Amino acid sequence: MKESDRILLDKYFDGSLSPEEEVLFAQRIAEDPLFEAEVELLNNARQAIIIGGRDALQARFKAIDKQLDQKPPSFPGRKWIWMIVLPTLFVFSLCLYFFLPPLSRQQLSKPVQQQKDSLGDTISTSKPLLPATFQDTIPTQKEKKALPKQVYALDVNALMKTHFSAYSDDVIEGLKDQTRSDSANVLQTWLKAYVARDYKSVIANYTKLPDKAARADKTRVILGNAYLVTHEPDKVMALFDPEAITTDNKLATEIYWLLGWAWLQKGKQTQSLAYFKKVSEDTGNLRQASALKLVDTLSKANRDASGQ
Amino acid sequence: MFQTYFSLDKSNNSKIGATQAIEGIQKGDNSVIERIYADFRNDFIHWAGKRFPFEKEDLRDIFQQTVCIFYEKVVSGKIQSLDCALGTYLYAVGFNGLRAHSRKMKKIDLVPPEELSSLSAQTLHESELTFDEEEEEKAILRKALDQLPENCRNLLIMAVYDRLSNEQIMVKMGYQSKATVAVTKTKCLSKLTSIIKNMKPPKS
Repeated sequence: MKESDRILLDKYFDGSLSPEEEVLFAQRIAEDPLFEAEVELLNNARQAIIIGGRDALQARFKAIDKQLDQKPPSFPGRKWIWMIVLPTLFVFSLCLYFFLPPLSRQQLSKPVQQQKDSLGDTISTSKPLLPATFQDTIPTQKEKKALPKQVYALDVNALMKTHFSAYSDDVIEGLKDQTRSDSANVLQTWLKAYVARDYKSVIANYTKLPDKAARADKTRVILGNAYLVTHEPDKVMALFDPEAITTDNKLATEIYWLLGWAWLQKGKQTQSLAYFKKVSEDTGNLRQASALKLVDTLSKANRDASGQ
Repeated sequence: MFQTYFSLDKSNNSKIGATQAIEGIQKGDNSVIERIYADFRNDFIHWAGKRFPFEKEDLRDIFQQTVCIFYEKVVSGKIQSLDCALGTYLYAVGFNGLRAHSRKMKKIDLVPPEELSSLSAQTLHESELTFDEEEEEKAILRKALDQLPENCRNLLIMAVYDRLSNEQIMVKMGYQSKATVAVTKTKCLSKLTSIIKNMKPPKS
């Protein structure tokens, strides 16, 4: 083969023929069958190399296939879902732990049987919390003698029942807020004793309450009620300074109601009447109707007493 | 080689971008094409498997051909950059491959047996010959290349298929100079043509 043909073939194989050389190349194919056969061989060689190159590349891919198929199947499209869901669940759990009231947390952790006796569950029931309490407040024989008959003509039991029912709903429900504090357990135990009508414990354990809780009017109203039930009207009166009770005090009516009964237990109708009048003047409160009856009865008793 | 891929995979969970892929292939970085394949293989098989009732093996083969096409277009300079994401391009090319495979499968399924029986024995023989000739041609060329020493084979693949320059081949294969690469390449090509010449029957 001529040297010029060899150079032409090399340039053809490398793809570096100039336009003039391309013309010459086509001319040589047309006129020389041996040259044409050499070109065909080169084309075959190129095809063989391309086949070999693809085979080599696909062999590398097959090796990757083995590596990938050994790995557990992954779902790249769904990875982001777990990246959102898992941290959200974690944050939600933290929120539940830190922001759920301790009382609720305790309820959640208790078995169902125990929950029946817990404070929250009892409050949520429609049954009167203290069905027997009014019986405890029935005046002693000594008190009876001190009180006018007209007072007993009233349905005292019904009055007290109303008092305690409303009392339970309003006051204890309100106190649940305080159970979120650090001293939740102490306060909760104390409230439980009250709900269980263990008034002696209520009185005895009051001093163990944290200062903040003990100073709260709501707590003192409960203690006052315990004193009332245990016939210790003086202690009820000692709990509250009537002159310090302002009109904006949300529990003013509750306190006046307690003081009214305390004075009544002491047989002091005039003082009692004054407090019940205040309760009756507070429109919209649950005890207004009862207070009006008491005011009416006590006023009559006073009039009778002064007439005699 | 594969360690490179997995180390890339661990250091960067996101898929390789088009620019990074094209630049890497142009520089002759072997790990890039492996990463492209590994990054998009599962997604492609999952996606194609929902649309075409092919075996997983077939889908895998089609994707391998797809990546090969992309590679060949980049090394030949036909692709300098992409207007779309690399995944989108591969899916588009792969979709054509899937359709072609689907047509091929339908053709096979749609030829009724009675039609086959009506064909003359000579026609069947001729069609078999045509099919066999194509495959035989490929087999001969594959065999011819396999007869070359490994160094020669690799050099020619790098020069022709990977389109690496003599300088790049020199660095990759540890030759002393570009001239040595050129001379060796000529010798190897000459060997290959003579092998093919001996293996292929002379045309009548």
